[in-house]
Amino acid sequence: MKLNEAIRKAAKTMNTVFPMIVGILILISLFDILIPPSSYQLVFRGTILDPIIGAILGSVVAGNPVNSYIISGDLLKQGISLITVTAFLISWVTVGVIQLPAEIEFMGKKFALIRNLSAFILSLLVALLTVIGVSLL
Amino acid sequence: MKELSKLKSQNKKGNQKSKKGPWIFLGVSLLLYLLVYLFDKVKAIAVAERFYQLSKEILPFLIIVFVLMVLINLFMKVSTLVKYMGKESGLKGWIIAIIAGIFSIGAIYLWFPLLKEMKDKGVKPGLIAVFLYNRGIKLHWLPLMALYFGLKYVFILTIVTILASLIQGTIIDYIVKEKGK
Repeated sequence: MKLNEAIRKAAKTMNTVFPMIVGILILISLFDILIPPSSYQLVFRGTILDPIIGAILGSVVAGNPVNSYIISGDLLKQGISLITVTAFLISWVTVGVIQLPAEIEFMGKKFALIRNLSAFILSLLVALLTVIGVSLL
Repeated sequence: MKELSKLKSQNKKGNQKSKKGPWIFLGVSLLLYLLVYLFDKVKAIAVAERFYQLSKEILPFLIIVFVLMVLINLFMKVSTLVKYMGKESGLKGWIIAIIAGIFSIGAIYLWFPLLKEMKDKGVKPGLIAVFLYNRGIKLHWLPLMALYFGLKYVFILTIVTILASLIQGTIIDYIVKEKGK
């Protein structure tokens, strides 16, 4: 493939990506402003369901992982369990509800849905195994 | 050869389907913003500022992804990709996907077009899933994570994440076949 053709092909794909990325950025901005991180701790009830709630929250929010460390550190200080915080951390980086339409568009519906669903379930398993590992070592 | 022509015809169908979708998605997002603007102008301005800040952050990564796409189009032969990350790639493919995922940077959605091109060229869906899962390991942020949670926690979480990525890759390969759109 020649350089011109390679650039044209990449530009064509980017042209499709552009509206998707702008849309995702709008949704992330809306989420960040309308639901501030300080309100996250309100959803936890100190029950067995907390890790699932943590994973749901982590799946919906998006942004730099550094933010998830800061929020998680804060949640730990508030007495939220390590397993819940870990599920939140892992689903933050592996599940993407906001970008799901873009993933469906590019990777196909089946791939995107199964990948996100399995990543959600795995975030709970990863959290459980990590906490067991930390307590054993 | 048969496999290649099958992949090409799938690509054509996929490309035809994906013309309107992105614009509809953008339209819905804009509509939501408009609703916020109508109800709370102060918050709408804050959203716009956040949007500007995020756009500035992702622009360099967008350029990197574009350059990578051009390079892949230019130098990466379908046969090479299929050899290293196709159906018969074996352990080699898994290792490449894990390492590439760990070292990749930028927002996940910036990688979708590149990954689509790779998938269209015959890369196993399971390996794409492994790549995406291992993006959860942010190598450059690990020291900061250790500061918050301790070295032991970061070490165990990293190992468990890699193992979980292999489970997910296997699930995806089992369920999503080539025609899995």
